[in-house]
Amino acid sequence: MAINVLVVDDSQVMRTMVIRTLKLSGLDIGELHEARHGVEALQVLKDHWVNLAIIDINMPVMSGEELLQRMRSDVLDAGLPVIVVSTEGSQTRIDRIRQLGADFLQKPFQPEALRDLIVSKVGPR
Amino acid sequence: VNPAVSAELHRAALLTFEQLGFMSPEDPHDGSQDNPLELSAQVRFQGPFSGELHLHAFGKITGELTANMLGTIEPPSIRQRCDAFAEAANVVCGNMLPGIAGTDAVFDLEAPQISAKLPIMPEPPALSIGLHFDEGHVVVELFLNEKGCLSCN
Repeated sequence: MAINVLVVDDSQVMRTMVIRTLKLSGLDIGELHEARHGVEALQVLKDHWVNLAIIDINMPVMSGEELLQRMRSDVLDAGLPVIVVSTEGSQTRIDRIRQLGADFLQKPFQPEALRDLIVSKVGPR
Repeated sequence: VNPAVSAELHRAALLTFEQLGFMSPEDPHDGSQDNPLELSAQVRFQGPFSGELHLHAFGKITGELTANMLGTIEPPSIRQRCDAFAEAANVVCGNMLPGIAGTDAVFDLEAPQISAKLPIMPEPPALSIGLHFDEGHVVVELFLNEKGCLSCN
């Protein structure tokens, strides 16, 4: 089954870069959705079936950490696999993200590292 | 400033341009310092110490950086170049801070500000490093709000 992915980042160039990495990963990627911040992401999650969310942390309107907290408190999205891709370097914050059930990948990332994390979250496709 | 801090800033900038922009630095050559300013990005940060990281691009850096990030040969728009350059500044800053302050330190980074002019600062930077590329060069400057906070080992 193809993976429907939501990419959340306030940088359009970064969203494009992540999507390009997904398309070149060899994984069976289905629908691709984009959001510029947490509020837009929550709307996408209401409107579409998503199997994986790849989210940034530092974003306007609603940060990635708040988005993650809201997802975990929502029955429908509580178990959604999430990979946080961010410049964040604080282990304290990274631990907090992991406690919310998300994996973490620091920018800049190697395409293979993102692919391996996706496989670990949703299995090989 | 402790030389290890300078090395950390250089490492973060190198990592960013190599892995985010797929750009390899080279040795400076005659005239390579004469490139005009393209864009400047400023990232303010607050935490155990506070300040600003400035990233300045000279020559034709941002077009190459953006095209490589997008994986296209089409000339990117100015909006895309500003977006990509802001992201690069953010990544340099985000990678430099834990290298200097340790991974237990928590910093808040503001959204990068982009300008086409060099910002006027009241004090010279605590630290400045440069990287040279085929397309021009970049200068990374670190401004600290508290004097002497990175001077000890």
